[in-house]
Amino acid sequence: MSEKFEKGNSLWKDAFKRLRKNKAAVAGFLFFGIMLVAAIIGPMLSPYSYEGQDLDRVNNPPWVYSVQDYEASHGLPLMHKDYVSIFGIDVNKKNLFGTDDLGRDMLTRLLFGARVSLAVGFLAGLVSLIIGVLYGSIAGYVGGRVDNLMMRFVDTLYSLPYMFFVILLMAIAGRHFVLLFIAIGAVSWLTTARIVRGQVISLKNLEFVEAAYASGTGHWGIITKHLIPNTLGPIIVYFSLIVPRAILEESFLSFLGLGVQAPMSSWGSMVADGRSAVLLYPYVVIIPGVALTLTLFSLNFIGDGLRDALDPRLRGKQ
Amino acid sequence: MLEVRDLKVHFPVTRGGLFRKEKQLVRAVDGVSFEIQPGETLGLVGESGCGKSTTARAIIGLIEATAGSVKFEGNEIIGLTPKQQKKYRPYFQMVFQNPFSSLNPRMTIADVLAEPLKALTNLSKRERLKRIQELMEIVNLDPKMLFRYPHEFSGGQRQRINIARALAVKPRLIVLDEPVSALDVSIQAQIINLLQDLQKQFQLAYLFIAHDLSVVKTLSHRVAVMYLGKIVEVGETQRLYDDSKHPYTRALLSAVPIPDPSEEKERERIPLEGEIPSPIQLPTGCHFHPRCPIAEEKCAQIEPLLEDKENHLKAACLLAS
Amino acid sequence: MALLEVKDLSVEFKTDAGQLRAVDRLSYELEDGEVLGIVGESGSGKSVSCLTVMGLLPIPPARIFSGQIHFRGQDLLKLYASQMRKMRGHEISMIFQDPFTSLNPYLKISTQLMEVLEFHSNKTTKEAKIRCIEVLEQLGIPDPEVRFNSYPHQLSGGLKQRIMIAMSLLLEPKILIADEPTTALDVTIQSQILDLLKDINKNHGTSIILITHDLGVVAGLCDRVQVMYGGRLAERGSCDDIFYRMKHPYTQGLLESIPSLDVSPGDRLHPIPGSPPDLTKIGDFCAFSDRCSRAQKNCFEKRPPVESASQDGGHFYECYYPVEARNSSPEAVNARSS
Repeated sequence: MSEKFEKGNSLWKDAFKRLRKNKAAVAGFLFFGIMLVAAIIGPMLSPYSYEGQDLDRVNNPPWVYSVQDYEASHGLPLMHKDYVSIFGIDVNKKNLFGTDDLGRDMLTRLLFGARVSLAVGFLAGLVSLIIGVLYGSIAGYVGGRVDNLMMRFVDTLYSLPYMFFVILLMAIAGRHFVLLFIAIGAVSWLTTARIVRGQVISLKNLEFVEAAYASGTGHWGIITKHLIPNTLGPIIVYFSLIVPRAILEESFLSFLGLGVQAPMSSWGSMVADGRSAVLLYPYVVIIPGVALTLTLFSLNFIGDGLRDALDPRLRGKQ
Repeated sequence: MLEVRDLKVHFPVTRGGLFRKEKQLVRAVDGVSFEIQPGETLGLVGESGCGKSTTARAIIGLIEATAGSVKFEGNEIIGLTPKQQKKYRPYFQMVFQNPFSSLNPRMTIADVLAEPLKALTNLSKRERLKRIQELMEIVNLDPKMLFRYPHEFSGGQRQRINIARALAVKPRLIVLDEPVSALDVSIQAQIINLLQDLQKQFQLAYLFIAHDLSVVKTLSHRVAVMYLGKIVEVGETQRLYDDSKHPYTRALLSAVPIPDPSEEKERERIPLEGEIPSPIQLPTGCHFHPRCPIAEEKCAQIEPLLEDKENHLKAACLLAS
Repeated sequence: MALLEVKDLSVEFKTDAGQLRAVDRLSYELEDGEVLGIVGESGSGKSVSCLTVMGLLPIPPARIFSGQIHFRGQDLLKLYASQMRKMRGHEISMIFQDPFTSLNPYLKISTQLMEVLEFHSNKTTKEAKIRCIEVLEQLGIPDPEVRFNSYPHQLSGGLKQRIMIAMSLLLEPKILIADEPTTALDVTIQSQILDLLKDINKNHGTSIILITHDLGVVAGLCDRVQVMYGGRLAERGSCDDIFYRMKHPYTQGLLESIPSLDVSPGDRLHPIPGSPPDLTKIGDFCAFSDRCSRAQKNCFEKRPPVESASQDGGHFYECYYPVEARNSSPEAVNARSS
């Protein structure tokens, strides 16, 4: 009897192959990957800190057509030695993305803000996932009255004005970073729970679950070994859609002034900071805005790609 | 070895509109009794809705029985707590119908086969590995394929894996719920032969459920025919097929197409009128009387019991000799 | 001139695993008024070939590689989609295996039946309704008016299948293709439906192509039988030819491996060893060669041509080493079963 075993091709491998063929998803992954790396090591490599103020270099744009014209029209002195002329445009080589109204480097703040936004997004997604999967799988599995009760509870929560609660929570408990993602996550687990419950209900009557019973596996074993692994597809897809939503919500909260505390930056707070002088210094708003938009796009492409790749219908039928 | 007495499985159903909710009962299994000896195969046949699958699942413990008794070697196994039930689990196993949905697509075959061993035995990891390799060989599959996934196997191979899983904990009785109906004809014969061999090799008893009467005939020592939750006839296979006593059995047998043109064209068919009634609105008296070609008035009033008739058969019919 | 002539048809599917030859240079005919049974296992190509006749193949990923399908002097493969649509239902119609999913659960039966007539004929709504009820009555559906106004979920499987048959007969097509019509039904209902089909054939002259894997069904209903394997013809002939004078080893293997009511309990069956072929790896060799006990070297090297078994024609097979059937007429059969 040979000791060598052949390796199997799990369904994940097939899905991965399909994902690789999806160009939008791949582009999304690439952009997101770059953003992630930049967010992690960017602020470490940068010569500036996110909070270091330089009051000599306030509101320096990243590039201008002509330094003299700019100074004249805006009445604002620029450090001439910071700007070099490239292809007829004066580009700021000291602060590549310019500075904000307190002379802080925009690029560093942007990448630091990326850390905050991405962290909040993923952690909120994770909180929502864990609560939602546990709640939904138990409700779907147990069924009957318990399921009814659990789901009516979810329905009630759904109808509450969630934004209101988050704002209330933040206002009362203070603007802690940790509280931010728990608040967002704790409110968005509802849909995850519904999705998981639906999946579990349709799966629990399949024959392999009956077979697991007959094999002596207990209830918890069935939930963890058979039901949840087969719901991972929709869960992963949903997770990839929760994250951008959470990021957006965090940005919104920060924009309202309820998110991260100064001097920490998040993309939302950067937009808020630059809001008052947006007509004079549009780049202060545009730069974080574009970063947010591109990141959300890429996450959504990834989500769509994952959904197409994990769709079980795609297994070829003859 | 296995004694079933008056087993009943009733499902409550609420029907009706917004204001007039009535609780009704689906009598899926309505008083079924039979025995299975060690090493014997009892075939259980019937059409859809007759309750054969429900009976099987109630015996195994996948569905809760509403009433009745099931004794295994003298011990009552109905109404036990889950913990007590677990003690008896290794004796009864089940092979399911659909080779595609009876294996978890996310688990390797090794995990599938090891699952019952992990749950019901104390074997070490190494002992388990040895056992599952053994199991693969018993069902004529290459043990090298242990770490592959279900979708990499054909229907017939998957069914072999199902059988191997059922054999893992060395059961005494295996319930086979339509094990070959979803397979191609040329593969069916392979699996049937395998089941025969395994029965001889391991002295297994089978409860073989099927709707294909020819397949049932090859494997079963005795056959029970069910209709709307009751057994209408039971007896030794050859006797039942040659000269059955219950009109439903005769109609059923006459409807089975024979792959032989001259025989088929000369055959006497016993046509059955109408459709199978719903198990909620059961006919009075003998459940079969509305469709029965020889029904008389008394059939609508008196419910026949399973009694000994000629030819060593037991049938539930007032008009059978 | 046969009513329907399929010539040299080849259909391929594009799959992740490669090009799959579902039908590989298949030719057959259907005569006027006859019942032709097409028998095969999964992957034999029986359904695909009929879907092609109906023009119901999903064109990517499928591709009709070659061939012609002649019906009433026209090559169906050369028709435009709009012409094919007119043909479908009117001249050639099809019923499928699963009556549960063939009917739209959201629409009443009446809507679904009337839709057929509205699209294909000039009948007024009143005339159409009369025709529908007429057909339901002919098919032995009890209380046709009631059923007409029901939803699919209120009907049983057997009734649904009858409604499907009714739907396909509304326009009095010349050909009815039935793809495993009784596989999902109970055996007593199956015999009712088969009798119904026999009736339609005898009394209305509708030609029927019956696709099935059940040789018993074929024995009772069909005039001629075509056995398919690996997307190709294994053997075709009259019912008696196939059951008593079979030539192809697969036909013989199939007949010997199925349990019939004649077996005794405890008998061993004679399965065909191996499993159905991988259609992505089919080529210029006999598709059955790897499972055939009679196979010789040339079976693996070149696909056998179609041979004719009898002088009067009508019995064809693709094999270099055909079997000489031991079965013959009813006498031998009686001898076997006693």
